[in-house]
Amino acid sequence: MTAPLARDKAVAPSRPAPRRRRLDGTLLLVAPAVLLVLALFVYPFVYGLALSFQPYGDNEANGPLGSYIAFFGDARERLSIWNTVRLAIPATAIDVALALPLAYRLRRPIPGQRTLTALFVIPMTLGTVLIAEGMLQFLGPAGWVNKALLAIGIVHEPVRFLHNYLGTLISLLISDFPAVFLLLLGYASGIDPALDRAARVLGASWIQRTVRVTLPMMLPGIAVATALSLVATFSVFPSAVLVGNPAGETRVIAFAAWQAAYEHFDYSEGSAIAIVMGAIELALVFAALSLRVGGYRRLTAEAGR
Amino acid sequence: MTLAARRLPARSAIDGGAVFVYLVLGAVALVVGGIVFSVLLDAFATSWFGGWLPDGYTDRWFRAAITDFQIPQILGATAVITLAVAGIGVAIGVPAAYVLARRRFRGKGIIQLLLLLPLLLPPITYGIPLATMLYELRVAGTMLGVIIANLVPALPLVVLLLTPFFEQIDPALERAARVLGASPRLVFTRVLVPLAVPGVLAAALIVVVRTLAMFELTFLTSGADSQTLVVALYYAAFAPGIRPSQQIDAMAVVYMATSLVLLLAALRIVDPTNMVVRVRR
Amino acid sequence: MTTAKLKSLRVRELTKSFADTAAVVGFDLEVVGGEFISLLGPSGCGKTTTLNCVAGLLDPDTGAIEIDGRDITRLPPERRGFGMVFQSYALFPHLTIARNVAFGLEVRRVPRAEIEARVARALDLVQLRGVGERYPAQLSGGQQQRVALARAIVTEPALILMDEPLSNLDAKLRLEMRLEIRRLHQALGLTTLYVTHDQEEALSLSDRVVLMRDGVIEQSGTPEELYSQPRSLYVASFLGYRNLMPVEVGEVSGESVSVVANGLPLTGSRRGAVAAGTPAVATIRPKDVQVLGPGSPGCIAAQVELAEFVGDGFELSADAGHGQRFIARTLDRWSVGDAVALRLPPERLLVYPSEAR
Repeated sequence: MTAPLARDKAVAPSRPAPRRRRLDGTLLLVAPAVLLVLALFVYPFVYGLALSFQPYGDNEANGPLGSYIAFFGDARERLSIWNTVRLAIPATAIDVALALPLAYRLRRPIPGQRTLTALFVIPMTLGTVLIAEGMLQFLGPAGWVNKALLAIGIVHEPVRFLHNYLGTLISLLISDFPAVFLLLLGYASGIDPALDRAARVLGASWIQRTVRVTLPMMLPGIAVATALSLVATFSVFPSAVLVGNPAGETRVIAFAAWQAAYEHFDYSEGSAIAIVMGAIELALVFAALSLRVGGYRRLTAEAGR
Repeated sequence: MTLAARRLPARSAIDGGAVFVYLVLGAVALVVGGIVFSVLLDAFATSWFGGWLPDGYTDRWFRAAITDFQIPQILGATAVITLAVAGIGVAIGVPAAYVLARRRFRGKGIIQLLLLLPLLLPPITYGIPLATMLYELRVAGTMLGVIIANLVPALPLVVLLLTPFFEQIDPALERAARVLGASPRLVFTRVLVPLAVPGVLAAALIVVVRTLAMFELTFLTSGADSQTLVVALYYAAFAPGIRPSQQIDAMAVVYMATSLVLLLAALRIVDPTNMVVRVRR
Repeated sequence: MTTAKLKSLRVRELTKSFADTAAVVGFDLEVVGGEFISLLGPSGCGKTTTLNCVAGLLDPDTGAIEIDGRDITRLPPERRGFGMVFQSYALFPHLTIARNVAFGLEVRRVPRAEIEARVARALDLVQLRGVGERYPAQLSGGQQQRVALARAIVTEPALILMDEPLSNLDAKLRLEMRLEIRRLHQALGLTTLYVTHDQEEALSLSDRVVLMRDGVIEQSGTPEELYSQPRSLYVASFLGYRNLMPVEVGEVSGESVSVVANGLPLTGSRRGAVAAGTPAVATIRPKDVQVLGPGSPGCIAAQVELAEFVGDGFELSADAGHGQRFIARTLDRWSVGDAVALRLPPERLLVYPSEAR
């Protein structure tokens, strides 16, 4: 096969040209994905943004910001932000706080670990709708939980788990926990076990090790888990309806947006509320991710070596 | 005082931390198990008025689900939608992930951010404008509309899962194949594809599972014949009119069964912790 | 936990198993304060397990560890007051170099001013000035190694444990750091337990070497003892006796033994239970093999197969016929194909009983 080699040699002096051609070929591969995101995500987003500035009906009188004014001007509508925040932040906080020690301890295996971890993936696949729907049965006034509580004598009448804030919170906690746990487990496993050994030999007690080594090193993982969890909890919708009180205390902002667009057919206001929702959620996500800036810089310096 | 040959108690693997783990995981498992089982029992109950167990058992709710609620049709629609989303998502996402894993180019950071953005925003935020747009294009309410809508979060997920996967495939393998004389096409079919198949399959399965559970986007864009199971379940639970819980739970069982079957299939192909866990030895 | 230098370390009958494998069996060691002891052996021989037991990071199944007569076997590692240097350095990536080195002092609540002074002195000792405010990721491998050393010695520990600290360094750095460690040991006189698989390192650094194999001590003694009087075939082959020849034993008279290797008659020195008719192995160091011109009397005729220039001489592989090859080191230049005569001095040709493996 010497002929092709001879050919390559002849071509060698003009190598820069083939390299440029290779770059074009590369770009083509990523183009469909980019186009899809542009067409189906960025464009509708811009379209929605534009729509939000074209208020409908009575709101027209207030100029282009009419839809936004209608949203922020109405006390009940404004409240939807608070309703959402007071569900999202506690749900995320509890899940992260619970998952963190678990993930850290599970760096060293315990018996039955694979079964337990696989068990988690089940609520993940079932999704929020099923969890919420199932809670109607399980946590209802005649459900097993209340029966058990009554039988033990902790309470004298059934606890109201459903159609209120508590129900929605519980639903969020359950749906969100597996993802947060698996993510934190991933980060925890990435921490070099030799670091803990080094700290022990240097004389650090368990508490000292946790505060000086473990938590700082888990910080990027905590930040990412918190951010991703907030994305999920802030978008709460079906559980707020099914096991919450969508007309009252769990009237979340997603519901408000849906109601404006699909019940009142005010697409401008629906888009406006959706935009506001997105903006607040991004702000929360950035706040969470900024947790990692401190520890992040040092740790990524290592990744860049 | 001889200190030799004294048997020391072994340090067991079950320490305080392990007990804590068992407690929490056990509690979560108990709640999830409780939910699943109460739904399961109720779906087969004639009625269940406040006892620990149903008053009697029947399968009529399932039969009703087939005749009155068109479960088979909904299952079919769900299958088409999830498979289409996974298929298209993989077809578009795999090349993109490969490029992002292997090459550096100007604007790579922006493209990565762009491809990640849909995962960072609530589905309602881009779903409402998207649904409105699809309505204008007259595809809202059809299966095509639902598929398009669900592609938006599916594609970033595929890219997110597969980029590190491709990064892990040693580029030296491709170079070795080239040196041994393989053309770029051969390198692709003989080297890359076999190595990529398990990861791509896993990613596709994860997309199917996620799309199955994905509520908001389908809810906003579906019509009567393009509902997925989860939306049908929601409507059944939330629809006006008194509907016996048993009927709703029967549909929930169908949903759970579908979901679990897919989950088991996925678990046989990939260890779930490996997709998320980055293990450093 | 003491700042005073230790007087003695005793390990008695240490045994540790994992699942079905016995990693360390009946390990006994007595160390006098200030000694530098190496645990030498291939991977899996139990040296790191032993070290981790001494550190307290592993619980031994049976046995005891004593410091100055005090039994510390049940004491958790954080209370033992040792220093340890890890193969991967294990520097805390989120802390500056200064905070890394200060870690052991901070957790003991040493006053700030004293910490600063001691950290500065430790960094000086390892010849790393001015990097206190940088992060580990910004330093080279050799520098990280020095930081790990500084962190271990700043607490003035009774005992320093080192787990293959030089394995991750390239050859040149390894030599440099070996000198560093030797210098530090001479300056500070800290009792050191050093784990390595590199026999050169062990021989050059230690007061005593403990060669381990499959969890058991094969030979323990000064570097000179191990080098010139290897007690078994295993020790010999580990310490550079690269010519290994299965032989039939002929006559044994006192120390001297005649053997036949693949038809070649040789005379060697007996080591251990070698008797006529028993299977044995003869071995000699490459540099003990004398390479002379062809036809020299009393030598083995051979032909040079390979000749490798190794800087301070040549390493030859010579074929002596009957399938027997010798590796020899010589200062003279030989070429492939040259006919040579090999002389194996009887006092350097060691004959060991063969081991059933």
